[in-house]
Amino acid sequence: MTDPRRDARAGDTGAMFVRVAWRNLWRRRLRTWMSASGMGFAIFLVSVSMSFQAGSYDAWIETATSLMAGHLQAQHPAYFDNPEVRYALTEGIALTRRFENEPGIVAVSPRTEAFALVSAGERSFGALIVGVDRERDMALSSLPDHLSAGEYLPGADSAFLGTALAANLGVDIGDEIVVLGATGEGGVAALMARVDGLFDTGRPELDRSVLQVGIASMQAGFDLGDAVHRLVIETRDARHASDLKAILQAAAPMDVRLLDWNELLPELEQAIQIDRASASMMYWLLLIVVAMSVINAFIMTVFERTREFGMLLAIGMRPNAIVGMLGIEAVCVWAIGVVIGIVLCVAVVLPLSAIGIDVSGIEGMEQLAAQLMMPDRLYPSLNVNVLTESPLWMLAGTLLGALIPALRVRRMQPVEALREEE
Amino acid sequence: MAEEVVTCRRVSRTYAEEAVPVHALCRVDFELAAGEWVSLAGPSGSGKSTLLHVIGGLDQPTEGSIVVDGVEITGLAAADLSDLRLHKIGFVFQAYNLIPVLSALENVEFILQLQGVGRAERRQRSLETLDSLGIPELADRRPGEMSGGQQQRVAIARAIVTNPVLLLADEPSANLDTATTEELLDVLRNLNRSRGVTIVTATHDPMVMGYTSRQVNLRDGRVVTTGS
Repeated sequence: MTDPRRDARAGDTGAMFVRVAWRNLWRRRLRTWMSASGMGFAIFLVSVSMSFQAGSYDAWIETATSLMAGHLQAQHPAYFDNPEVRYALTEGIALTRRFENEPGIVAVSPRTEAFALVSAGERSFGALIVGVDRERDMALSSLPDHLSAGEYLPGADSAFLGTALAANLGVDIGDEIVVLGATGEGGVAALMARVDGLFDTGRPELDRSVLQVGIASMQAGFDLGDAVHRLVIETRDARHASDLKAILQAAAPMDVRLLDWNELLPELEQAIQIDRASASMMYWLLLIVVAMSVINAFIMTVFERTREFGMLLAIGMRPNAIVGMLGIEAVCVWAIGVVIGIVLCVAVVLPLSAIGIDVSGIEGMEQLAAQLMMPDRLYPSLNVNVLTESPLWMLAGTLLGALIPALRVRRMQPVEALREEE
Repeated sequence: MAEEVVTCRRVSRTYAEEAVPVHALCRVDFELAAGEWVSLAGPSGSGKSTLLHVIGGLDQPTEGSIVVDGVEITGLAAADLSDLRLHKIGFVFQAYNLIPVLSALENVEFILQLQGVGRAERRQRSLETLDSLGIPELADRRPGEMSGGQQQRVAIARAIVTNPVLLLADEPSANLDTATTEELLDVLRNLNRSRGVTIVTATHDPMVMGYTSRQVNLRDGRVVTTGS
């Protein structure tokens, strides 16, 4: 059982230590301000960089997921590893309606898929045939936004294909194409469509290999009934897609597997991890530099105040208590640094998160932006991670930096310490 | 006969870290009765400060036995020595050694805080102690705003506020002028006589020796004479 009076005394002693530590900081005002400002500047730099990173990751994720994959998908359990026509969700339309009513979900679009041979005249090319519900897909996919000619699936027998595929097939708007594939049972699947629209995403692998048709037309041609291969889901926030996935998976039928964008687009997650890792190197270097300056400041402190510590030891203060008091001083410097860093960061990032930064003119960004289909404006993002990660790492560095010299106090002999000159 | 507060038996302290070992104390025997005020006298290097330090548990003898208030302190762990100093011994240093960022009152309170005394009692005892030493007006002043004599009085207040069994003062007058030294010695005499505080003073100041009830003379780490 705890003794309230003892707890109160402990709290009282803690308050006294904080008061002493705080006042001690101002014995060397310049040094304190230098240390805190250095820390604040490092926190500012790291937090601002992280906010831009977070903003660019949001843009990467949004751009990549909105094109085809979505934030979440529901599939047959075997389809992700073995994308064969037979692994379909038989009650696709019913599931679509069910997911549409789940909180946190913005849009759901059912899709069918099959690899097939697309022919026009004498030419034939393999392509991924995607059957889509026009209205639902337009609500979550950015592919229709890349329309370069014609219209986006205006009729039941329309086809929407990449410009490179159209060029390979030698077709243009209004031309007929024939799709030949296999049904889930191994029979022949065939459908005819008219080229009503072309897209140009700037991604050659997509523009030369994807062809969209109406979902009803594809279900009929591939003998799928109501079955679909993917339910593509857009959530309110891609960052929370994994949490939502877990909730949906728990409530979903046994033959439905939920996948989030990290699983659907592992290369995107890897790109983010690699970028994070390379940026972390810089952050670490910065934090090490600041920790070194804290070590330096506290070495000076311990040397300058050796006699004072000798006196404290002589009157019966435990060495650990003195080390603790130095730790509190370090935390106070850190707290000032955090205030400086975070105030600066918020002051800079908050307006930029509203207006964005035009990155189109930045040398080297053009190619990267095209590859990642990034927007011209980058919006830095302030979130809890951005505002807490670098201060917490800095706290660890500061405490380490302060405790290394402070541990000298543990080895101090009171008599020797008392002999030290001020 | 008064109870013994300190008993030293064949206490030696040798600094073997030097190229040639230095024998700061050689088989010193020393007793101190409750209520006594003894001055340890002798020239620089005679061992008076070393004796004061080993009695106060600030340093450990290399040989011998020291009993303070019934506790054998030789061989005690550092933490136990800290507790002994905190609860049984008050220190007054030549250079006052107050905490510069605390006021006089806070300096006196600080040691009570280390003892875990509650806020109200701490405040009351500290104010009473400053008052008893005639310096209540210094309560809110920081060391930098006080004279040497005033700081030394605050240091004495800090040393006695815990009601220690023993007050150790190492050259308490070394940085003070004659008039201030006299005032300080009056304070110590008053403490010794009216409150029965047992005091050991290491000094080479004849004025201090004149105030004490007994004088122990040391030379080359040995007690050479003892007298009233």
